[in-house]
Amino acid sequence: MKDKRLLFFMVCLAVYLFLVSSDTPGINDLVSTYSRYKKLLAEEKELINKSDNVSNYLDSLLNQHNENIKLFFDGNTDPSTHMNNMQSFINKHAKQLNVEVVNLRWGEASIDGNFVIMPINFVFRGDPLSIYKLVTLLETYEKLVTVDQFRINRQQDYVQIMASVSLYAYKK
Amino acid sequence: MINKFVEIVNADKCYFFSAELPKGINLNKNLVLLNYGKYSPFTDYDLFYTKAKDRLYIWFYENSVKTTKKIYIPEGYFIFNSKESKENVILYYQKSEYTVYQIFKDGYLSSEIIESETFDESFVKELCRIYNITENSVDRVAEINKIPGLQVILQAVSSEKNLNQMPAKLYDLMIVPASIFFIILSIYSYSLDKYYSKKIFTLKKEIDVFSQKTVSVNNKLQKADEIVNEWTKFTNQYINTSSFTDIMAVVSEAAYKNSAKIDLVENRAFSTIVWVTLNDATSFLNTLMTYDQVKSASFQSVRPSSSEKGKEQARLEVVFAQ
Repeated sequence: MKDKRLLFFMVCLAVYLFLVSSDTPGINDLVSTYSRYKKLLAEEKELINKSDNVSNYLDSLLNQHNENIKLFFDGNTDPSTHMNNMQSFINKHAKQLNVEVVNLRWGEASIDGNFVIMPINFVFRGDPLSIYKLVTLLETYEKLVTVDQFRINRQQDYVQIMASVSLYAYKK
Repeated sequence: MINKFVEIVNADKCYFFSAELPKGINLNKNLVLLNYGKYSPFTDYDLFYTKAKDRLYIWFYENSVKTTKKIYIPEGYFIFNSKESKENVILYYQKSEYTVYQIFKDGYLSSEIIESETFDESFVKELCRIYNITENSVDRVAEINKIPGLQVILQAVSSEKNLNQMPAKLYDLMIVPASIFFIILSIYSYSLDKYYSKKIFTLKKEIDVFSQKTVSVNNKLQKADEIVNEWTKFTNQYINTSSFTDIMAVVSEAAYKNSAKIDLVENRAFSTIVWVTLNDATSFLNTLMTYDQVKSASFQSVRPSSSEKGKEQARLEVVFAQ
């Protein structure tokens, strides 16, 4: 009788240890997996609810992106066209301000991510105020131009100066 | 509840024996049996023993009274424990079948007598005379407390004839509940496992369906991130500083106030480098700091001007507010 009960106990223990306990990953793991999936599902549902907002957001970003691109030099246009346009712009305003354009040089373009950075260097001669006005006018050019360096090469008591101006223009 | 595990052995089924206990002896059942078993009037017997002061009290009883697997405690033991005062006294406990007399002499249980009649006053007088106890010291035990304390049960357990039987008793007591426990645990674990596995499976399928729907949303979000990151990086690198017009407005005014000549203005990612030739570089720095547009300004170098004697050339780093 005692042996039968022991045998029964051993069977119960073996069933639990080798069939049930070893085959199940553990209740805590299951519960945590269940909670994780539940959270994931809620996130997916929320994302679907927000899909219209996401579309609108992306559209507005793309519009802004395209507007920004318009400020860049056109990548499909011949670079010499850009140079001529800019030179015409500078010459026109330099003449009005009585500033001499001593030199204009386009540096070697470099690539930074999806952008092409084009350095331009001008040397102007004239009175300081006129040169300053001319440089500020450069910032109003139809394309994005940023002043990198403004160097006064020679001073003649500020009546006439030579200024070297380094600019960056951008292409995408 | 405790009574379910305890059976009282009637006093008329027991034989009482007491002996002086040598000091420093650690008693156990086998030792008691070896030394005092010879005093048992029964051939097939068991005993319950207890100690009080320096005396050993033993109640022998026949094994045949043990019909169940409960713990057996003699009735005499309960009578013995029923009164606090045990100096010179005769306690008697009446039952319908018999009366039990316990004679205490000098604080010790000297004798236990079972009479198959009801309380007999002349018999008690005779006992008083024999044991030299006054008749006033005869006390009746109206009722015995049949609910044993834990100490009593432990004593009874330790009085088991063979302590080796205890694991067996424990085994008998536990084997079936333990088996049932593991059966319930197995069913519970298995059911819980299946319940959560099924739920997780359903959730996974549901997530897969939603994931397909959110692919395009995620792609849009990814695209938006790319655009934002691209422009953030670009603006930080190239147009993070103030415009040249704003910078020059501040620098040229400060230079005018300090009679300084500007040599160089250079834009960097987050600051502007300014070279000036002037009489007092510190004054120029202080003037710069008075502008709201200037976040900070500091000297990088100050040295005598090579082109203009008596003047100094200062190199400053100026951070403009965005």
